[in-house]
Amino acid sequence: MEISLWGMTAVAFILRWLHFFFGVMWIGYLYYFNFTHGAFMAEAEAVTKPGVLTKLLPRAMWWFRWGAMGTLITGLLYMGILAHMGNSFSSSWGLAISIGALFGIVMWANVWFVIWPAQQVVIANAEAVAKGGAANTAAAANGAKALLASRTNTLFSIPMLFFMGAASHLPLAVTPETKIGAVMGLVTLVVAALELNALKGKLGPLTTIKGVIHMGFVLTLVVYALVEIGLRM
Amino acid sequence: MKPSVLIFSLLMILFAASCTKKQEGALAPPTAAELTERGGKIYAMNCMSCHNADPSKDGLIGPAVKGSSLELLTSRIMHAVYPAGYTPKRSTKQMVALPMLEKEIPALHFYLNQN
Repeated sequence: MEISLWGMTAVAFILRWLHFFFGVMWIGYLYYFNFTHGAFMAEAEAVTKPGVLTKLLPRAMWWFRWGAMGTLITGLLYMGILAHMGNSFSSSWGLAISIGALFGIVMWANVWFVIWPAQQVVIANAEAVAKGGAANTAAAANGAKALLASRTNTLFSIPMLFFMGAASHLPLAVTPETKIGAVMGLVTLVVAALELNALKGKLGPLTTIKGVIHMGFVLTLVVYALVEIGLRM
Repeated sequence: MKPSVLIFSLLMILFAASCTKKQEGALAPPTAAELTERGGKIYAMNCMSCHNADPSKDGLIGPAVKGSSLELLTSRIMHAVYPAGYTPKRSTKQMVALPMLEKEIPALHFYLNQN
């Protein structure tokens, strides 16, 4: 009798499973921060906030950022193994997983290079103030910077999940005539514009929880429409 | 969400769906080499991620498909069903229909039945 979980098939499947495990850890915390934590902090009494900032936030940030790291590493290894097994990125699978990965990699970069450095300033400030030290005037600006990147990641997570699932479950009409580069180019332009906004722009409709969820679905629709247009170019 | 955003998005989808492929000119029928090449590309682009880079071997999700009949390929690709009386190699029912490959089935069949 053959064992299903054996050989390269097993390596690929275990990587996919671990990718889900780390992904749920990461995005679970992302949604907690965006849908619960922020609203709670806006209402919390002054005596509550220092404990949250110095005892809860550092722990949540640890699982959040290492969840992101685990997701990135298992995702890249998974794509590498599938490519090694002979899969082309010029394929229905390759196109969808590349779009999912584009969103995911930008989100990972936002966690490690924007949100975490900014939150370290916020946490250090809360710890200094709790010990009776002087407040860092840059703390509020860093909090705002982290919020915009975090909201953008919440926005990106919705199309990211769509294309990740599409890779194996929604076949796209890819043929030898398809200009995969053109499709990826169109999608990259949209992602780059939104990421520029995440680094330098404004919250706009992402300010509210309802807004960011709605815009996530709109963005998914727009990116999917661009893919269908790109496939016909 | 503004209704205008929703309407614009829906229009984009409709626009995309309304586009049709350019008509291919009436050329000479493809040679065996051309059919094999076309079929191989279609296989790599649409089948390989679940089946195997080598169609004679089982893949990550789907079984070996080398030697599949035109009837079997058409049933699976167009409707994700099996021809009457066919015994599936696996009972997993994982495959979805890929009807956009309709005109590629002959090339795919040719490729999968090469030696």
